[in-house]
Amino acid sequence: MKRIHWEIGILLICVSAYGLTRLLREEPPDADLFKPLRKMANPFQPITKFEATDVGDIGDQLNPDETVLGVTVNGQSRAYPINMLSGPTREIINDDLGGIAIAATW
Amino acid sequence: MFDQQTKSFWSHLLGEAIDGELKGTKLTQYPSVMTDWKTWRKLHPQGSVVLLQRTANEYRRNFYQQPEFFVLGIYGNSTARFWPFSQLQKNLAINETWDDIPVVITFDRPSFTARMFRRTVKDKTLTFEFKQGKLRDQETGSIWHPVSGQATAGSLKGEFLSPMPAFISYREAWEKFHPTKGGSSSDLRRPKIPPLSLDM
Repeated sequence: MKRIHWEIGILLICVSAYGLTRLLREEPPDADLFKPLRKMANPFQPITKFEATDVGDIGDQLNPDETVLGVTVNGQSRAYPINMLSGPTREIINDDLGGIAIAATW
Repeated sequence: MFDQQTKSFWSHLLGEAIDGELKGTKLTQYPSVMTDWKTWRKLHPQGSVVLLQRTANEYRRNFYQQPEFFVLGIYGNSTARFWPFSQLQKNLAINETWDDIPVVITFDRPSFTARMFRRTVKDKTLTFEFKQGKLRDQETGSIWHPVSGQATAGSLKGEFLSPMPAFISYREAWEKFHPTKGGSSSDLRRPKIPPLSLDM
């Protein structure tokens, strides 16, 4: 019976030590973590050509409560509706705004 | 996220190449905002919109129904910090110093929009409060828009607060990419979020 207690004690110490090292870990995930995902998702053609519509011409193409990602660069403002950026082949828009090359990502 | 030229592998949440030729290179961040179309349209009537074929429909104001899953986070070269939406919902103007910069974190309840601005205007550091439904600074009593950061009334009318490149993230994702480097001590509850689905 005593031996079981002793083994449980060792197990608890190991679990705690593992938990502590996890808690104290200060490094973000490295590239290796993404290797399985990189194999799973095929590269897609970068999005570089698309039309930008003036806010005044949008009409009812967007709903008032839809989420947009908005950015202003050198006085020029542009919105990217999140419902159009969703999905692995859509999450990066290579754009030029206010004379700067930007990537709008989601 | 890869770049076509060098095939380096980039992390959205770090804004940095984590593998390949450009490993360690950081992208310059631009301040952005996640808000609803109604709010953005009103603030930027002269702007433009990138319209692509719709691939989803669920990203609307009520997407944040469980605010404990989301944070507003910011990172710099040596430090990172986040504020949970559940805290921002209760304190609509939080005066802070981040990376030696006096900042204010604002939250607009109607549009569920969180932003961070510098709170120094014309060399004067302001202290913000939310009173009677309006964001105002204690020093001049000017009224400010919590999403655009522009003063709409008072002696500073027309002035803009300078936006900081803070952005919204799932709390779990933020904590993985910026571990033990911040967080708000007033809200240490760690919600368990369901695994994210990969919508191929």
